[in-house]
Amino acid sequence: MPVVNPDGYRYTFAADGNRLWRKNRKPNLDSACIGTDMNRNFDFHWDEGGSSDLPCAETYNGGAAFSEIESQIIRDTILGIANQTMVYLTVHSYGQYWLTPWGYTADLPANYDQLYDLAVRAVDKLTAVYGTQYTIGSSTNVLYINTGPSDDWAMGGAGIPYAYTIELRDTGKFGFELPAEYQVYQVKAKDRVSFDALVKLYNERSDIYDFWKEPRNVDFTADVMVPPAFKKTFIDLLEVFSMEYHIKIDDVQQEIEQSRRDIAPPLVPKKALQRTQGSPRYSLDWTSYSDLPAIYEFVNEMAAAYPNLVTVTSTGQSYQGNDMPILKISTGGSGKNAIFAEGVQFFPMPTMSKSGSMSPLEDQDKLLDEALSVVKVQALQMKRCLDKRKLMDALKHASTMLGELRTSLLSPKSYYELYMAICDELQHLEMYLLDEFQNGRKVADLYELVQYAGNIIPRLYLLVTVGVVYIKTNEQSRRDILRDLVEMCRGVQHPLRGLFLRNYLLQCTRNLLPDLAENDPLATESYGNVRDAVDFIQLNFSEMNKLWVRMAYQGHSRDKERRERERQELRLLVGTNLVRLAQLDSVDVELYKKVVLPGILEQVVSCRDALAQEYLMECIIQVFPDEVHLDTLHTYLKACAELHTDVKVHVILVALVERLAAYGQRQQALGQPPIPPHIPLFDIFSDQIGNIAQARPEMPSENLVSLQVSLISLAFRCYPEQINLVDKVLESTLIALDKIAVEKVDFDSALGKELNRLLRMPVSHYNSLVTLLQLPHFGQVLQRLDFNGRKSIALHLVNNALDNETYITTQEHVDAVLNMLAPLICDQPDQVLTGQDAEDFAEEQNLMARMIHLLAAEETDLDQQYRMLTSARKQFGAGGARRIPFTLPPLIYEAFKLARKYFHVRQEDELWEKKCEKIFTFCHQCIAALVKAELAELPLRLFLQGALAASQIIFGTHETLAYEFISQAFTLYEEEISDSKAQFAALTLMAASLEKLDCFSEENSAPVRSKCALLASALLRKPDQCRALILVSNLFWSSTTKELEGKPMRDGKKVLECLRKAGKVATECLDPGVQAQLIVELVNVYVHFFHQGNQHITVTHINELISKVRQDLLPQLENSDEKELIERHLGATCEMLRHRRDNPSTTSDAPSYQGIVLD
Amino acid sequence: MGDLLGEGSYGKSFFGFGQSAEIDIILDGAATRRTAEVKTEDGKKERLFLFFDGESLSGKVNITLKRPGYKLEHQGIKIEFLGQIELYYDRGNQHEFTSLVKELARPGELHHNTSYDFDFNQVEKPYEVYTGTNVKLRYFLRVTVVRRLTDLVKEIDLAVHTLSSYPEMNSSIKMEVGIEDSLHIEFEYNKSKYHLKDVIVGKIYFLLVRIKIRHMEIAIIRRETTGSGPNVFNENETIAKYEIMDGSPVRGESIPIRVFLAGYDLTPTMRDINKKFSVRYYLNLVLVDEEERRYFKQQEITLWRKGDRIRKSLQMAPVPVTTPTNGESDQVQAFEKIPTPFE
Repeated sequence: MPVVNPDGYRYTFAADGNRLWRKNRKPNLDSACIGTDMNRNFDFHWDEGGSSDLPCAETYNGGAAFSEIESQIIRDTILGIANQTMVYLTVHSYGQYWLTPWGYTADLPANYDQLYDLAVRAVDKLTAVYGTQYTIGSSTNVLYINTGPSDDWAMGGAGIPYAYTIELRDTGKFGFELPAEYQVYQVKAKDRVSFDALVKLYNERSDIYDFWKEPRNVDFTADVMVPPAFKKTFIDLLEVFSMEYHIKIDDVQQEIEQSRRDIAPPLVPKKALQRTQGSPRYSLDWTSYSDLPAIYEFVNEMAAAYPNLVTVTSTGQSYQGNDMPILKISTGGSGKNAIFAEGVQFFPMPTMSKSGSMSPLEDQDKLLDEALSVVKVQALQMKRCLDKRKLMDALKHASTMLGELRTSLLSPKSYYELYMAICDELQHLEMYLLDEFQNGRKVADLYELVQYAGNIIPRLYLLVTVGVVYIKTNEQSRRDILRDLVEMCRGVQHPLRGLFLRNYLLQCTRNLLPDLAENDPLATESYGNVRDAVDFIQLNFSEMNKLWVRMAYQGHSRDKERRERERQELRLLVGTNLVRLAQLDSVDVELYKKVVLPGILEQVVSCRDALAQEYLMECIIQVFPDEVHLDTLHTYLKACAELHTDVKVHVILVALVERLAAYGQRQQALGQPPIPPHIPLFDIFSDQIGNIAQARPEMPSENLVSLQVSLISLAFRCYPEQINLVDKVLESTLIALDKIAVEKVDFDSALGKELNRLLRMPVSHYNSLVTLLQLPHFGQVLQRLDFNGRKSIALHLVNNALDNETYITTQEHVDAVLNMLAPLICDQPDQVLTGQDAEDFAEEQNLMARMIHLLAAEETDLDQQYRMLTSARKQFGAGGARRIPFTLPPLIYEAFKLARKYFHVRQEDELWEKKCEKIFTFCHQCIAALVKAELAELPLRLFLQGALAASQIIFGTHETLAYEFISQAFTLYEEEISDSKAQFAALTLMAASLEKLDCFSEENSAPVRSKCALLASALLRKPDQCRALILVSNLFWSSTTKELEGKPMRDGKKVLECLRKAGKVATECLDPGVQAQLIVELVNVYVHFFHQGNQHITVTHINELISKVRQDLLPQLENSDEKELIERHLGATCEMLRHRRDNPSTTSDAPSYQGIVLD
Repeated sequence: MGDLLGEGSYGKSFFGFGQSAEIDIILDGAATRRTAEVKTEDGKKERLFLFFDGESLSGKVNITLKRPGYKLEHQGIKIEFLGQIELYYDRGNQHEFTSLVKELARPGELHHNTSYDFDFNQVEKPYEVYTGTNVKLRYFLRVTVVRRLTDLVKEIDLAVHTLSSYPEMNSSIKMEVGIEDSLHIEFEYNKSKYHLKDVIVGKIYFLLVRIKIRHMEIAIIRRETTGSGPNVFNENETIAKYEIMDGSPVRGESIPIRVFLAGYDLTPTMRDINKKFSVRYYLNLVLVDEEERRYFKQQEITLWRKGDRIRKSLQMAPVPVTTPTNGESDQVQAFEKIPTPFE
């Protein structure tokens, strides 16, 4: 039953309440005073002394036995279970007593011996856990006569064999309320005489002066509480002896009040608010009193958290209506003996689980809290003892506190927290001991003394603490003590405990190691030198590492994952050793090389644990300076080759290379050579990586490749001039790939990705395709990738070239480059044909097309350019029908460009005509290839373009060539183009091209022109025919022939013929709208030629047509957009004509527009 | 000093008459003589004057009459120096191994307070005082005023320490022990004979570990043997339990041992003292495994008392005393094993 006096207890927390209220809150008849002392209200020798009949008394007995509802409830509850109750405990505060009946008489109960024995055992347990001492005895004998207390009744009335009253902590510094203005002074004696006076006061007047902190020595402070009446006397005394003093607590009463207000918030929520079975969400703070609702809430929480263990039942209600619940804590089963406990705030003592293995996680918080509370209590006791200069007792408490670190139940995380808390406390001890030593007080043989501790964990922690004090006070023993400490720690072979112990050792000694060079005069035999420091850390390191590794093999294999995680959490403890080594100033390169590194590596290699090796090797890289790494590369890398097969050696090496490369870069930035020339850094790495690969045949090849990647990075950053190094890396990659005998590397595999990374590096670094060509093995490595991989690299290359405008200037380069780009250029044997997105494909090919424009030889070396183009042609030609439409046209245009260039320099090159001819033949072949690929429009255009190009470049056979091109175009038209729209478009182009061509003689020109007219009238659709004829009519007017020497032909008659034909075709159109449209267009053409001065065209022609539209066609049309469009077109034309008619030109040969009928 | 002198025993006179006297024994140099703590039978400790073998005992016996003016008749006054062994199960029989008597006065009458000098020259004290579980060895001086009816007797106990010189032979204890195929260790204690303020330094080397050891401790055990023949009683008492290892080591691990003896309640080893009893000491190396099984190996060590000297300096880590013998050692001894934990 947690609270037997809920009303009273509640009142102690009330705003207007009294924190020290003892009785319940029932008003008494005939008195203003409230409440009855429950513990005088029980019916066993009631009112026989030690209680009061006066309602105002603190110990008012209530007027009759069991007069109070609360005591009745307790009586009934106990009677209900009395026959199965063995023990009755009633918990009170305060005084630290463990009391047995009787209260009414000094005689002892019959079973006092048994009562006493049980009490002794209980108190011993309490002392073991909390260090508190309880006085045992019967109430009357220990305290005073009191009648009607509950324990007397429980034994005498209810017949429970064991009944006790427990008076809790503390012994009552503030046992009663103090009269006002008690003050606490902090006093310091400055000399022996005044100190003696203070001691006299302490020894002889303690009835008046309460020394909270006793006088220890001259110059030490003492705290004294002084009653108000003696204030003046005391201060006078201080003045006489001229002691330093100040008021520490001005008003003790206030201070107490304050501390009451500071009572901890009643509920301390735990981190995890999720309630799981077996763990309450929070616990009460045992160091302070919680208020009533908090207690009740906790009671319910306990019941909810431990449904099988705890049941809560209400026993009734107090006078003021507060509930009085009772908790039944039982594992089930009936007929068992029970313990009935009641009190202000009683909860069962936590018992340590006996199991040796670690407890489930949910118990961790609880276990940790328990351990921490022991630490807190013991630390407090320790400090008190230190204050009283009771060193032995202090050490005992320290040892008990350290005993908590012996647990096997905590997870590493919780253990760490506990460890930290204890370390904090140990600092106090250390400070105290230092203080003592420095004040010249010899703590004789302390080093030996602490070694009497029976348990090894507390013993060694104390030994370390004392050892450190020795070192700090006696410089000369340093070396031996350090050696002893690190050696003695071997006794702890439990991984977790050992790790933390040694970490403590390491932390404590961090500034104490003899960091002096061997030849330093201060480094005496007993002080030691840096070698001793190194030995110390190395021994500690290797022991810690062994323990850490051993953790992996402890416990069940199903917990392996958890253990690995925990080990990861602990790795810092081991790594700290390396940090310490790195912090030793006196370790020079020589020592590092000869002693430090080999020592570490030996341990790392021999521990054969992947996790440890990986972490520690990386640790070495990170904690030691770059310079020493450079000097010890061989050693380090050799060790790498010996690591466990699960170790990701490449990660370690990559880290190392990264670090050195960065170092090299920094050096470079400082204007120094990146790597000292005597260290062939690259060669070392490359050799060692080879060795590692050999030593670890099972190493995944992608890891090997990632090593190569880092090597390349090293080469870039430290040896930017030596491109051959990069090639060397590629070569060794190739060899490695040969070894694993993989024909093609899957792009999506890890290896593929690494290779991809490897290949991209030089691309991005050099930003030049051509430079890449200096890496003969680049292509070979590239070939090892599967199609997708190669394509991806090829795309990367192309983009890179385009971004950087890398021009390719020789035929050899073209071959080489295009070889690398092969997956984009032609079908590959390993190509997967599964539907590539057409858009993506076009994208790729467009890139390739752009790439072609980067093929540019020196301006003066046109032959070279020609060779390049033919080379490229050969490659691209293999691309198949899907690719050549993208790749050949740019090539052809490049060729045209080249031909024009030859023409420009025709004075310098005698053979230029021949070469041009060759170029055009080349182009012709290219276009023919496209034709062969069953393309029509594209080659047709290219033929036309070729004809135009040939006509512009005047060399011997250019007319023939142009004619050939044109005739090819016409052939294509006739044979391949059947779609009417395409036909019209092609014809448009052909007509336009012909108009531009000026190299034909009449003999060539005439048939082409008439062919054109013929083709125009052969078009399928009438409007097309009409328009095509209009276009063709231009040929007779503005095209030229060789004979005309560039003058337009001006064959007006033929023009009119064409137009007439066009007009006729137009009128054949059935749709009047179309007809009207065509005729309006025709009007414009007539006007055009008329204006150009074609004599065959007259105003009549124009009038006829206009009137035809006006009279015949437009009226037929319904009002529509189309009609409006035509009308506007016609209107605009008429407007123009009107303008011309009304403003006749002044030039003589201008045609006259008189006679145009416009309305 | 009062307790050292003991309480006087008062001769009771019949019928309320007669003289009674108080006897005090005052040793020469009492003010400067060293004392030593000696356990009493009820487990408490008392401080007694300390003597060594061959030392003389001299002093004064003062007899103070209770009723001045009355005479004290006696049949003679004597002082005895006695060395006695008492076996608790045989309370009536005390075995005196030393008994020296000096007569202080012939029979006669005492009329006033009298004082007698006494002197035992170079007394042989062959054994050390000892209070054990079943046996007690004590030295005391006894003054007896012989009277017709009841003698007046006064006794004072003395402490005697036997000092030894540094033993000539003091080889280390080194041994390989094991349980076949599961545990194999080699241990070494630096000496076989330790003085009472000595330090046991040693090492345990694990050659094979296939059991999960939880911890290892060294216990100092005192074995008191009394009686002879068929009636031999052995009483073992664990003087100290000292954890020397926490957790389970692996092969190749070596664990240091360092036990300071000065803090424990030890006596020198006593062998066959006056054919009555022996007190021997053993170091018990105990390994406890995860299943609470205990494996142990006992080794006797000899303890001796050394003349006091200047205190030694700090005790430091042992220089590695042993290298594993690679299993070549003559014989591997078996661990003793207790399958269930004993409490």
